[in-house]
Amino acid sequence: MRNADRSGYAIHCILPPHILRNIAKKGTDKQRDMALRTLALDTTSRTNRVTHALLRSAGRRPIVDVMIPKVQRTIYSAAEGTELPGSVLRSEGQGRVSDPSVDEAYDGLKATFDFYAEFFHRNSIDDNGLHLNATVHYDHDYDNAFWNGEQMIFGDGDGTLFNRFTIALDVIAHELTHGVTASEANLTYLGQSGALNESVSDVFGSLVKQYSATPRQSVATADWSIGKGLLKNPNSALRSMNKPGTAYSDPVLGTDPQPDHMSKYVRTYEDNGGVHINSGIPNRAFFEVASALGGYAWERAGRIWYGTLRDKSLRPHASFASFARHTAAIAQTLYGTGSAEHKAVQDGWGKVGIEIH
Amino acid sequence: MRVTLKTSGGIGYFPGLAKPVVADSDRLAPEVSDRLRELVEGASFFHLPPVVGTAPRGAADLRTYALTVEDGRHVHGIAAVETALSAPLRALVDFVKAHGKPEPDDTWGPIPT
Repeated sequence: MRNADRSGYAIHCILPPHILRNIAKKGTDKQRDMALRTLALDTTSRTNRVTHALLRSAGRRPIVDVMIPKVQRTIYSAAEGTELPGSVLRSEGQGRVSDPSVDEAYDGLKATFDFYAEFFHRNSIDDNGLHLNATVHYDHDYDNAFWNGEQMIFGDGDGTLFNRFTIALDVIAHELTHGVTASEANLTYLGQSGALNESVSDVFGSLVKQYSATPRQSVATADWSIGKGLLKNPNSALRSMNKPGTAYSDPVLGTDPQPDHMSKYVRTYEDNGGVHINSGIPNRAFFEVASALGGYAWERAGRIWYGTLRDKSLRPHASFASFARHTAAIAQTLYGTGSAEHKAVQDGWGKVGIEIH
Repeated sequence: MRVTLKTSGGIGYFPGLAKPVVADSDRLAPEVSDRLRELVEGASFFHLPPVVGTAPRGAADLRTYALTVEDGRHVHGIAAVETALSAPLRALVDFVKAHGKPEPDDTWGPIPT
């Protein structure tokens, strides 16, 4: 068996399957979870080896090794222009380059990749080993970051309202998660489905930040803000997941318009029908579910949301209510009807005015 | 000549930044006003289609610019995705951002039912 290059995968190199199955039967909850995950990986590995052998015998190289996701990153600079991707500043395995934007993007891509790989066994953004590219120093005084369907783009900020857009790990993870959503539920970027698309990016952006922190952050210790440090005002953020509508209040930017309940839902033509506005409602629903369950938010609430995102019956034009019903169904599937997780999901959506029947 | 620019999209929605910005040649210094006209002509603005470019599949947080130019009896408006801006059109957008003044925004608020 090929040696794992990260400690998170090392166990299946040491323990034979019969011992893992024994741990799965008799171990503690934590040991059981690890053993089951390792067994699943091990089975995938065997399948992978057979597939690779068949491909080699047919004279073809395997496209990607699904067994051990391995990040491949390239950071480019647009040198304040708009040509993409720009010139290469740092490739996979190269050392730091003393340009904070480059090094933050490089580290942020890996933190996001590792979260999805280690906890969800996802092989990059598309679950097919996508090479992660990012361009920094895009345009002049550019106050934005976006996912263009293939790569990430970061501006340097204008220095007055915004700092550089690589400064916040949750923003990097937010953008990459748009790529995950595009390859899964592909939620249409308009109205409620667009707000769900945005919310999913905030949820996993926040979870990556919580998972990558040292020490890791629990529901209680996480700040549940998105983009802390991005705005020049140190007390502001882009969004607040636990208290939508309170992230910023500024003479130039205005006041955070996010609602925290369906009774305050904003019907507007702005912002693709309010995708960054009404995302406050599902954001708070996630926070309420995670809070009710406690511990690390990615372990149960995050798993339910990820399962929902991958649920093939979730439609691209899903409404908040439809998404909520899917989260409840996934919670039932994963944890059982009437379980604490199932009830937390029902209650969490109820707190933002969405009743699941 | 009056050029109105409204920016939407981006990683967040900021009400203060969503207000339209207007560059009105009647209120600009003569050399700035001349430059505005040059940029409008350089972008062949009145010959542009109403929609310039579309967001790539799966893209998110891109900005869109709505530009309207009023010049005498001629009025033309376009919506352009930022990644589809030609260099002359980008120069016009940047110029209006730099020299325009914010206007009250009457598009914000609930949609009438």
